Amino acid sequence: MLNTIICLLSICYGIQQFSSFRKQNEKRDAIVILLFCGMIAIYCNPFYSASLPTVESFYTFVYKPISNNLIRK
Amino acid sequence: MAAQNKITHGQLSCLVFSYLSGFSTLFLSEAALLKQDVWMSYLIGMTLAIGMLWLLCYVQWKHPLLTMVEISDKLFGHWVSRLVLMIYLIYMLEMQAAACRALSTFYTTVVIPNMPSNQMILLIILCTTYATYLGLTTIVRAVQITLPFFLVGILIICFFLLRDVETNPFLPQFQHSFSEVMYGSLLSLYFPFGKLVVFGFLLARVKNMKKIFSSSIFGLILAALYLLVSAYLTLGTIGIHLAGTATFPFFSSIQMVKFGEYLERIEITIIGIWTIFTLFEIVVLQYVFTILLRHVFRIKNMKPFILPIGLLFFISAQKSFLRLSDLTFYNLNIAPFSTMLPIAIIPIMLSIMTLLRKEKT
Repeated sequence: MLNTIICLLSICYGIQQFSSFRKQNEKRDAIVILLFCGMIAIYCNPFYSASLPTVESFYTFVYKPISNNLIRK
Repeated sequence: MAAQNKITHGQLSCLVFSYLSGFSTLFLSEAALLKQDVWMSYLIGMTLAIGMLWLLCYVQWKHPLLTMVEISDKLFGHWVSRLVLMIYLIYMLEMQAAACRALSTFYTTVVIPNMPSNQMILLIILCTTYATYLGLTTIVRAVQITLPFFLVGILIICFFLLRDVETNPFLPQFQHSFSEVMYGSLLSLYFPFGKLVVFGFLLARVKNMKKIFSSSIFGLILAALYLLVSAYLTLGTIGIHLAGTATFPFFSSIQMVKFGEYLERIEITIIGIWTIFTLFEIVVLQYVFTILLRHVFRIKNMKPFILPIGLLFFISAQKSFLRLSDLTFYNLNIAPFSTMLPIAIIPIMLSIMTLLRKEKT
């Protein structure tokens, strides 16, 4: 429920700020905030967000073999 | 940088102490691992962190008019610098997720067990987002005002616990192998001392550039002392074995304190300390994240991005370390190695590049 609300709010906020930045002729800021809020919306969506990667999962994937090797030694 | 955004070196010391202290005494992983030899890991970890800090200060001294992000651009070039800053952005997401999860787990385990973790994390992030919005000078002023109360609280807790310590818990010494002590040192470098690397991006904000090293060291040494005393008192009051098995060993030892028949439940003091210090830690991480994100994407107006950054921190914390055992596993097995790049390798590269450029000119 909380995530669904944040998903909808981030979409609305992203669109609102995008149009605000476009009016000020700040194209880069507009695109960045739209991508940012889009990413937040994707991670908060109630359907498949549990399978999306996190920093924890990414670093565990990368560093677990190194850690297993070094700690075993 | 405008003069009103600068902080004094005294404020830097206060901020460093509260940031490093954070929730450092919550789990006492090194004490659980090394027991009476824990002081060695703290000493080595602190020394390595001092070395890392000196490298960052050296780089800053050689470029007094530039911020660390601008120095990174100058030394590494445009694209490599962006990659380096992205590594730090991911590092900060990692650290704040662990901090949020640790604090929310503590609250939902000990204080308010019926509250969902997600709501606790959201409350934390809303506070820190507002603090980030207010700016660095407001943050350090809040630290300056609250720090004396917490120092007195820490002293009172230590005084009460010291009465229950009957024998020196750090004896007999040298009971662990060299590799175990080195592993413990790696743990203490990752958490809490290596977190100091984030302050590399705030050094340019200090008014007196000559005192950035000494004032940061002062905060670091105080934080190390607080951690060492906490470990000593925990091992001395609840014993080595219980300290190794308890989830929150320092909290367990404070719960045993009673003074007469009317002064008890002083653990509320340490709950307040952990809460406020962890909030300061997350605020600093979020503030520096904002600075780096602005530079990476060349954003002109940063204010509208502060709320989305807060939400990013929320979802990062919400979806990470779903169980306490995940956090423990990550802290012991993954994070000591994943944080080597931002804590050690990149500062070394920055200082080598600075030295090479200095020799060229």
